[in-house]
Amino acid sequence: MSLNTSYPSVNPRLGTSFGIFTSAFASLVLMLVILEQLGLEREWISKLIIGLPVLFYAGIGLLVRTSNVEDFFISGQRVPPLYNGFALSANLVGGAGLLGTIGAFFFIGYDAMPIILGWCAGLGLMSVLFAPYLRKAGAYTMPGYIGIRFTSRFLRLLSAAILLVPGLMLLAAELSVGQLIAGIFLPNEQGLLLQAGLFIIIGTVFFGGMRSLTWTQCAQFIVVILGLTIPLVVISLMVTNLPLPQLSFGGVLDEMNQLEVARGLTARGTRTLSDVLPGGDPSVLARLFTDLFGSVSAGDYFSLTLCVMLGSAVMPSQIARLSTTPTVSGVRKSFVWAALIVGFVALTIPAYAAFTKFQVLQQLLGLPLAQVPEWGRLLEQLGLVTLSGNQLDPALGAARVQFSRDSVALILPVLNNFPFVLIGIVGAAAIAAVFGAAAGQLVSMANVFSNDIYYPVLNRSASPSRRLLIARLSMIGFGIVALWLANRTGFDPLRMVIWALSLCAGSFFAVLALSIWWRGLTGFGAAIGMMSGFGATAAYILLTAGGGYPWFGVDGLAAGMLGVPVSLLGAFTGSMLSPRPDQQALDLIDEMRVPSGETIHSRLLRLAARGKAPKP
Amino acid sequence: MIDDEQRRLHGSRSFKLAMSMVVVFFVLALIIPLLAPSLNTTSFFRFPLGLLILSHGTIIAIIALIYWASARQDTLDRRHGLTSEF
Repeated sequence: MSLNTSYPSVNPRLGTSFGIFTSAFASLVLMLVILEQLGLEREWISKLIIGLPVLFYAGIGLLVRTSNVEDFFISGQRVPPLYNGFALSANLVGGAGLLGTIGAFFFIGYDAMPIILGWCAGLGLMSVLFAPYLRKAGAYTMPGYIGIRFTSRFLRLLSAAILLVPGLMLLAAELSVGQLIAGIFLPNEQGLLLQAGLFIIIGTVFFGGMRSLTWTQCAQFIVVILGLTIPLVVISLMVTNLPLPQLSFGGVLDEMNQLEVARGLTARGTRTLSDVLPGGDPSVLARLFTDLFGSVSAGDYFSLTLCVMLGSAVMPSQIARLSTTPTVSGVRKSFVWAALIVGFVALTIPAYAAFTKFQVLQQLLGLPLAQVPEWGRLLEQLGLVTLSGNQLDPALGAARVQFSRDSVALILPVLNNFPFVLIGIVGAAAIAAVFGAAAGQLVSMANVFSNDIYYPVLNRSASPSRRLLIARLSMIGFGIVALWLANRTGFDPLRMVIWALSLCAGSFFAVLALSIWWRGLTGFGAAIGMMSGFGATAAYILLTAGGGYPWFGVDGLAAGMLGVPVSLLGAFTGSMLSPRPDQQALDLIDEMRVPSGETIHSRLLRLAARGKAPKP
Repeated sequence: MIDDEQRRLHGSRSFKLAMSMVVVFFVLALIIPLLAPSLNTTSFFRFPLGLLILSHGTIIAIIALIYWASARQDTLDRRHGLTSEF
């Protein structure tokens, strides 16, 4: 199998365009390094390194316009596998996930592994369980697929309504992380950042829908990868003489362990997962990096991995991406690329956190306040750490240093006295990750609203341009709701992401998997499965978030542990209680398994045009 | 017209492939971590062995398996004349 098969009707100059973008970004960085040496102020450097890439994303959004339904909803089914892989990774990792996980590794070390392992395993599950079959179904959205599979408008509406809940939570989490990071670099515009950011995010996808989303996400993920690796490679070279941080951080683990013990970071706890997982508030370092199961018990570790894994396998924005490749085999290849890209990020995150923690231990912790070097002041000025020491005599006793989880990633370049541009690159990477995932959620929700709520239920005779208009307007609506959520509820973004993944897993995993692999699943069973799974997960999250006592030792963050079995049981009993599926439904399942030929969706469209089937 | 016998064989083979991959992914992501602490006494590449297998080993194995399963499914599709390639 070659990964670079070329398809007709795909833009042959994509590689060139993204090559130019990558070198433009690199030259922007080099130019700013030179300008910084020549005395350009820090404020302007932040504005340029954060602002110019963002303007570029907005530019793609303005240039890639479309009024074609296929283009707007599924990118015209002509995204080559590599680029689809980039977009899948951008959806999956996201700013809240990336920064939250680096921070979690920094605080609790290897016990944060479930999140990144869950991403990779989730991609694997998705590629073998769902991807080829949903691509063959060819629906625009996940509820669209459910509507085709069970020939039911009610199920379509039900799954659309359920899907909006985790979608809004993920969007709100991304927005609040974006606000935090942008606030560090542009402190003077604090009040408007969230609104301006949302405006640009909507701008990148407003005119082109899924099509412009694909290309902006590719550009954004290139920035994410560059921004994460450039500072890390330099530091790895400085500390271990090897430019491969992912492998060389083993060399600092021993010394780090000794430093941790010397500084008294040896807390071990048997507390619940929700307590142990670091929150957004500033806190002190307390735990060993290499102490697996030292902070999170084996049971919690298991259930968190399972929830992230099953949740990311059925994340709505990911499912929406399955229909965009030219062929069924193409979607499988795009998962190979996505696994390579996410795997690279997943190997980089522990290395990033390990080097950060090592250098913090070596250079910052244990110093009295008076002896903290100049970069310590910069850290404090940027709001990355809070330093407090002996009030009467700052030269006495070790200063107390507190870190905020989501901005830990920015500490590393500051600590090494790097040019400010390198701090800016990490910020640009964080902003890019936030933009990519937020736009992905926005587009998937807007498509669901237009395709599965407005079109089949509210206005059956809507014209294509009307459906696009509704999708665009609903983007603004969902954006405002998420803005409110991010501003008012004040929940920690990483927790919000894990809850949302739990909700996805609980509501959809069992039903989607059974709908492809079990011929006996009926529409009634699917409805019971989705409702009971969503109900159980949501109720358990609300119960534990409200301070209720966890059942069977399952933590509230891993509510999917409860939701998935409930939904499986519900789907099974519901199917047993209702009449067996008819021949038409069985034929549909068989058709889904055959990778060749036109998609089911386009066959139904063709039949509907001749009046022989209802419009899909 | 697609041969029914070919279709049945293709279906059962794809099912076996997918289910065995699911089992392998579950073992890699959920069972290996539970065994990791017992391997930490030895070290390799200056990493504790258990952690190296946990972080690098499982992730690289998952990437490789996604590639293998995808190539294998393509071969199956081609062999049974059901390929989606142009």
